[in-house]
Amino acid sequence: MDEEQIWHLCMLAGRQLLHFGAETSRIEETIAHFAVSAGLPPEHVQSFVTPTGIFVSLTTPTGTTTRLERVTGSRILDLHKVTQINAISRQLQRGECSIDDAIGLLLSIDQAPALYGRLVLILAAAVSSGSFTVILGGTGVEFVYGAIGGVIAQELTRWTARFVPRFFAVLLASLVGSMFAVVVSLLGLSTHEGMIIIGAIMPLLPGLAVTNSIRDLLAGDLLAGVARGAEALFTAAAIAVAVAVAISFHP
Amino acid sequence: MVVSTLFSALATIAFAVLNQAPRRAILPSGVLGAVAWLLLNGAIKNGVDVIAANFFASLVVSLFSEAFARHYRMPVPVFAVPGIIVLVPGMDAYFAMKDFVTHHYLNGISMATETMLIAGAISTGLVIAGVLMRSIWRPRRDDTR
Repeated sequence: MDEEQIWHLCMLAGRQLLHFGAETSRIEETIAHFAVSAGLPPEHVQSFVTPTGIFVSLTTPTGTTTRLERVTGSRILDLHKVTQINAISRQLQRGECSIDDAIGLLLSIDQAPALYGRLVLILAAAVSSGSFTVILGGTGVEFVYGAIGGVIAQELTRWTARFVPRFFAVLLASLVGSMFAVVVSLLGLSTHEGMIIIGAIMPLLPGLAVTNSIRDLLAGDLLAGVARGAEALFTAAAIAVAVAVAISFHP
Repeated sequence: MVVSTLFSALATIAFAVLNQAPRRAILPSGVLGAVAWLLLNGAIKNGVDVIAANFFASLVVSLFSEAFARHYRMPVPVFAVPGIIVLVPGMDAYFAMKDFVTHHYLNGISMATETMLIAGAISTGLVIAGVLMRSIWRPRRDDTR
């Protein structure tokens, strides 16, 4: 078995899983599964994953090597791709595909466009934001303004996240989304400013960060759990501050 | 009630799409969203405290997410993330912020405290479901730890 190939497989899978928003224990387990499927004994594979870097240590007949891969750049949450990589790991384990196949599949997942394109995402942001206003007791009017606010927030985050840290992009987007709601209520178009604000910030909520943080802490990945918890708290605080600034124009 | 339950399913489905959830997971998450909303409101209507109701709803949704994840062979967050999103105490957080900017700090602090407690209750539900499933449902293969 070509050692370089095992490294390539492990690092590629680890980097992708981290990038698409998998839990830390899943990433560590997948790396181990890949190395074991490639023929290494389980006790010769060690991995340590943090939200910003991956360490893998493999013991082969030529000795023990540890490599580090720094993972930076904004994360693109994509649960579909996490599921796909998970499935590859399972196939490889059952011997249904070779290491080469697995690397090929991973690369094609990397290249593949997201499951839902831009238009579908805009529609989803509109529907989720609009529906949330209705859940909170709004009517058709609030649905429409909530949906518009949600689309503004979602698209603004997408666009600004390319230039600034995601945290700041969320702050800006929730500020603009809530300002939209405040303007709507200042113009007298709706009396339920709160519902429209909550609707507008819906697409920005750090749901995955919270869930992953808890699951990391439970799995004993304390470092990653605390780091992701901090990410979720910061994002929530950014949204809260942005909403506070917006509603202070129309208390 | 029927309308808001339908819309909570719709909101959950749309949130799942925003997270790029696999197609097969979309409908089950929608069901989870509706269940979360029904449980939350059913409990509150029957006199259960709002924090306990959130904990209860989150626990049930998380347990279902763990079960769905095993059934569909997908990661748990695929179901848990959209499932709990309708429980997020948005209105409470909004009122807390509203109180702060209008200088009603005491009201604001009590609203903010309630928001925090609800958020804590939701995460506790996730934690307990995770622990239960980890201890009852042993992984088929466990060669890393």
